[in-house]
Amino acid sequence: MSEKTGEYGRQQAHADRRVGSGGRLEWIDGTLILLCVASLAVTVGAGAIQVTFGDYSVSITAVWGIIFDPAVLASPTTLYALVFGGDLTHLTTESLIVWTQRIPRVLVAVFVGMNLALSGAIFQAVTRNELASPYILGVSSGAGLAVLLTLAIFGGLAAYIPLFAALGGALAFFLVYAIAWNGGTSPVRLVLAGVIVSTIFGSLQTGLYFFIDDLGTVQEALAWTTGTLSGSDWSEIRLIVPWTLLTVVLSIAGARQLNVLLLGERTARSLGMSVERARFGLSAVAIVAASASVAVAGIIGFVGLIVPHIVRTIVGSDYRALLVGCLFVGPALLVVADVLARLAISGSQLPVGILTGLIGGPYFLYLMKRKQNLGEL
Amino acid sequence: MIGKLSLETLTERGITEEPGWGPVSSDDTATRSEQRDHIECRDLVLEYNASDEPVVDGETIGVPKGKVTALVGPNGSGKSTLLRGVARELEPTDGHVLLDGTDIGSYSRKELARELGLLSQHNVAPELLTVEDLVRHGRYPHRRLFDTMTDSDWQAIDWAIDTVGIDHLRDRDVGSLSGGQTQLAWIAMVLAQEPRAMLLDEPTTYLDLRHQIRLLEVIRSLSDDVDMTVVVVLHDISQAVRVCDHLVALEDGAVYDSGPPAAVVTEELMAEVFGVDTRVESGPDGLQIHPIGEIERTTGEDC
Repeated sequence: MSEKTGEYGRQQAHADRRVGSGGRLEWIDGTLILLCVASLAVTVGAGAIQVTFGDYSVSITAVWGIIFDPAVLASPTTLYALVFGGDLTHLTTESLIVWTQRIPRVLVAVFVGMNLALSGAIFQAVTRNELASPYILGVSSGAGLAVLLTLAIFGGLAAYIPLFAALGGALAFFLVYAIAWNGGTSPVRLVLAGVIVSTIFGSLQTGLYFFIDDLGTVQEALAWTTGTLSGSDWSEIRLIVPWTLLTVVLSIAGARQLNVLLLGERTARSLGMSVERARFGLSAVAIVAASASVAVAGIIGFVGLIVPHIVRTIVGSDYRALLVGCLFVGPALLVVADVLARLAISGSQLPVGILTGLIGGPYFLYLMKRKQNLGEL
Repeated sequence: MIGKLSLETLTERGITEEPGWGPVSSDDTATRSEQRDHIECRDLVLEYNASDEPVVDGETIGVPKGKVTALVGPNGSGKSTLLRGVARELEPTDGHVLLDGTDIGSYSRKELARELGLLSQHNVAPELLTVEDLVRHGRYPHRRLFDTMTDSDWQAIDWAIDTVGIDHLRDRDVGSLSGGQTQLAWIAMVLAQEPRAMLLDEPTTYLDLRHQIRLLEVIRSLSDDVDMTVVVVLHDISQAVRVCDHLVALEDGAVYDSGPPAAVVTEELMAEVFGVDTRVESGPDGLQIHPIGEIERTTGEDC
């Protein structure tokens, strides 16, 4: 009898799947939707706190009056001036603080969170390593070094910082991969190679401070290397949005390749994939994503490690669902961390990178303790 | 190393592989045109590093269509390397691998994947992947970048899962399966590619006895029921005898002998290739192989 119910259940499942299989979105299930909705709620909630509170006291009602101020929202010219820069003198000081400081800061956190999470998720599949992230693989330190070099030595080229960040990140990643390569790589070798490259690049960064005479530049450089969102404005958003769109589209398009890469190099090849080309292309997407966030926010560690891991434990390892989950959980984590960084100690702001490090370090430890087979994905 | 081929049996069977001999002449090919081999290695030389000795040195091997061909030999005899060459994981230094008479180098990777499925020896899948999702990846070579799953994709997946008989595991996570179940799930994934030939690299290693037998039955049924060409590397010669129609015995990267298992597996082969003193009897249940003991090798003979 049990066999019969089994058979029936199977046919039922079969029928359900057939219904779902017609569309492109059969892989979206309740868990993923719930995760996305919950993350969105956290992001909006933390964003609301971020916008409402701060050193310059604006009353809560006044803040929300400003946010939903028809003079801004319903005026295309004002919105245009905000986003693309322009004359905003007609706005009040309170309005300016909310619209040019607090709201952009939340938005930058959202985009940086997306990019870091995507980057980590891609690196984890490409290296088949649960411990991979732009931070661990040296991409962040490479990008950071490039940024610092630009600031310290080629000050005139500050406009090209994102480009240099991407180049530095790519260089560091290839270095790490080359060091770890021994007829193939293993998770532990990759992490060790990442530590080596990060240490060297970190020393170079510290060394560079001695060549910077201007104290302002030192502070700016320090902000880069610890990772901060303070001072973010619409120009950062203009910088990161195009790259975010690009990396989101490319990574979602590459989700199936990522899934197949997870089955191992031999299997991927036997399924007809050009493994090296796919790895190279997907790594490039991940490097661009990481470098774009380094370029606007400096080096923020651990987001790219933790977020894909959290999402994986909730939605499973299907990269279509995983990447979508990352796009929601990444922003949630970073916006919350930034609220803590900005508001936890009244009167002074911590760089958000310190917060994510404080959250991420113990999480890394937990991963180490929990997994018998360190890092194998 | 002296080939133990009798030429009469060769002509009878119409099979042209000869150990380390020159290229197949066109006359040979013509005489067996009605029974063309599905996969053919011609003077195949495979090596990992140009500086090293070739692992497979100038071999010509035919794999009959729709039959199970077993590659056997001791460790280091080149059987897995040969399989990698056939699967185009290793580019030949010299010679050709022909699939239906066409060099596999002229197929695109995806085209080849639709013709030729490969089950590697060590497979890794994310623990949280369901069996169905794993099998679905077998459709990769049939889909372009933005293609959705079509009905024929689903039919192939259902067929693959049914053929291997793991319908009851369909929604289980791969991480929760036993070794044998995992292996069956992987075979289903390769089947979902709908290849016309399938290569398996030591699929029974590390499995318990029951699953070893189950796996051999699945392999047998692929040939018997769906007329698939199967090439399987096996460690265990009694398993090979049990499952295959055609057996290729390799020694030091060269074909020692090939043909129907009953003709190839002799006490002499067991002694010379495997270095084991063996009693081989043909009984009602097929060939019985009873290893007795190791043979002391005299070193002078090799040179």
